[in-house]
Amino acid sequence: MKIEMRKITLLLFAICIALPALAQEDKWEKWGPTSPSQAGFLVRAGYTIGGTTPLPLPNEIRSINEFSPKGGATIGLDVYKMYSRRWGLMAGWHFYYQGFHTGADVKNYKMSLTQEGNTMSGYFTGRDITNTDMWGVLMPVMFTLRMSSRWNLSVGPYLSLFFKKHFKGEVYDNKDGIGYLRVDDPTGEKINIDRENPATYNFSDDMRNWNGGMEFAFDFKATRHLNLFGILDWGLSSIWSKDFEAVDFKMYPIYATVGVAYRY
Amino acid sequence: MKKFLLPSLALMGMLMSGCIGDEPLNAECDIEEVSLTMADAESFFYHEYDTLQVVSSAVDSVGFLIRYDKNVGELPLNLKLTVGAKPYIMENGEYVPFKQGSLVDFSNEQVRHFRIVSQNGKWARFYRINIVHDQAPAMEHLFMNITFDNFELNSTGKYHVWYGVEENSISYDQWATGNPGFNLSKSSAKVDEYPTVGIESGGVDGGRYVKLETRDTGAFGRMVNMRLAAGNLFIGTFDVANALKDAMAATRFGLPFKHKPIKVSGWYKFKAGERFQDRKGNAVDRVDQPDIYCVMYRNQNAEGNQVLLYGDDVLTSPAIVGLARISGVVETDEWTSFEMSLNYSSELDADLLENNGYSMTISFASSIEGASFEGAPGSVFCVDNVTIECEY
Repeated sequence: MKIEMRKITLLLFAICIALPALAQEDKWEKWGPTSPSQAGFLVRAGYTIGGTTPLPLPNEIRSINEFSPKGGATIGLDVYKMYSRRWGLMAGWHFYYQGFHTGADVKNYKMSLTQEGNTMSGYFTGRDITNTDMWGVLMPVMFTLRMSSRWNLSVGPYLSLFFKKHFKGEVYDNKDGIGYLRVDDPTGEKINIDRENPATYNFSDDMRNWNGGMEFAFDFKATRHLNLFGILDWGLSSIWSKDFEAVDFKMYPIYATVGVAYRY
Repeated sequence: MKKFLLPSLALMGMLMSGCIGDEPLNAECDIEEVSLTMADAESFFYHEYDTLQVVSSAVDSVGFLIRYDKNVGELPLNLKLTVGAKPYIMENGEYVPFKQGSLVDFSNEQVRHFRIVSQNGKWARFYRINIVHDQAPAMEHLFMNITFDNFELNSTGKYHVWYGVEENSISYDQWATGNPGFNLSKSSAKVDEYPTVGIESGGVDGGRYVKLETRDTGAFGRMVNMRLAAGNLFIGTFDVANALKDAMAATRFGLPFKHKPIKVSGWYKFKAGERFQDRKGNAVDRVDQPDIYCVMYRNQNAEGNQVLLYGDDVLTSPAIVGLARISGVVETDEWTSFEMSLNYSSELDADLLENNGYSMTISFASSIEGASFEGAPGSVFCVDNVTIECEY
């Protein structure tokens, strides 16, 4: 009996140790991929919000009074292949529409506008309204880490191509009624600008046709075929063409997408 | 989901507010107002308000006018500056810090030099301030001749400005044009592509004259709904600061005048532009007309405040006492004479006249509705040898 008891105790002990491992193996299999080298794809649909911003914000930007994402969307296809239980690669095409509207108070904000060969440049103090939107395709190539049975983290560079892009805005007075341009430099003529007669600008054609950056993607396997995901696309190249001087600083698109994906 | 959303939202929050940096120090270094402190100011100046001058951003020279028979010595001076800017005054050839309200020697019409340094120390502007004597009144019948000969390039060499004392004129050297406004919209324009241009020869006397032409203001003009600029030349000042915000307020008509103008005559040539357009740029079935008017008005109201006429009331203000406006202009390639008489609603008060209580302006424009940005681009109005006949 004693021996029996010992055997049973040992067995129980073994089961206690093995069970979670077995259970985990079950889970990893259950949530797939079932084999360490499996490949598959994800069809994504998501809601995209974000903005295009200088980083860090220059001191000339005194406050951001209005910010509203325009409610962008992303539809994408990602192909993945796991090379081990935990590591894999993922690449894809994310078609997006993204945009935002912002209103900022600025002080001595260096700007220059060119229209039909005429240039108006100087330092603006007042309210600056920006509306931007972009249609394009973003192509990431990422390493995937399967952190747990249901959680994946993927990180990698992306290249994004714009099909269509707008960067427009206007400047006028702030809530204290202050809105003026000093022509050429801070000692130049002071030109008052108010919201009755704002000065508009359109830098759409001054944007590059592409953007590069890093994508960070979290996938959560909610059901056997459905993922919930969150993606952050952090632009690392400025949206402006090299020779563009109207805005004195580089600006980067930073957009996040949340949505659901169908997983094969 | 929270795992995705929270970092994203936190990031947005950080981007939107957390990164606002320290406010940069002011880069501007303007004298916004100059004021003199003086007991019994009215006996030295003409009006109480003459001791304070608001300084336009485009101006770097400030002159106060005192009565011809008075002298001043040291006066306490106050400069209203851009916040944080530091003032310096030139003493014995060197700029030394200037203390607000301290005594400044303005005797013998000497020009005092100031240097204003911005709060951030990176920019500076230089100003001149002086006090000059008005001319003595001369109550006699006279003809004042405007030859339009005195023009030169402005300080940046972009466009013509008119200056100078004309024959028999009285502190009368302040001509203004809308050229500084046009310069904003068409920085690429050459001197002779501005709305108001001085021409070297071919005037009625063979010499210089002024050519006013209504010009398209290009993309920037459309941006602010000011599609054209009529050529204009007038006595007064053009405040370019308000050229975009409130164009009517940018044209400030008139200067104090000690005579009674009764008749204006001169020579013109005119050709109307082909397409008359409204403010929105739509074609209107109308033939463009030029404009000349001469206005005499009371420059102080019952409360003792200064009255200035602007683009929107220069022909309608109740302060107007005398007015003449040209009519019957025909299109012509030849120098053609015109004449118009001022109609007075009341007799001028001789005492007020002598004490700079009235201001006079005369204005020439290539499009009669140019102040509201209506007219025909290409309308050309040339003017030469204008005479203002004064009864006394």
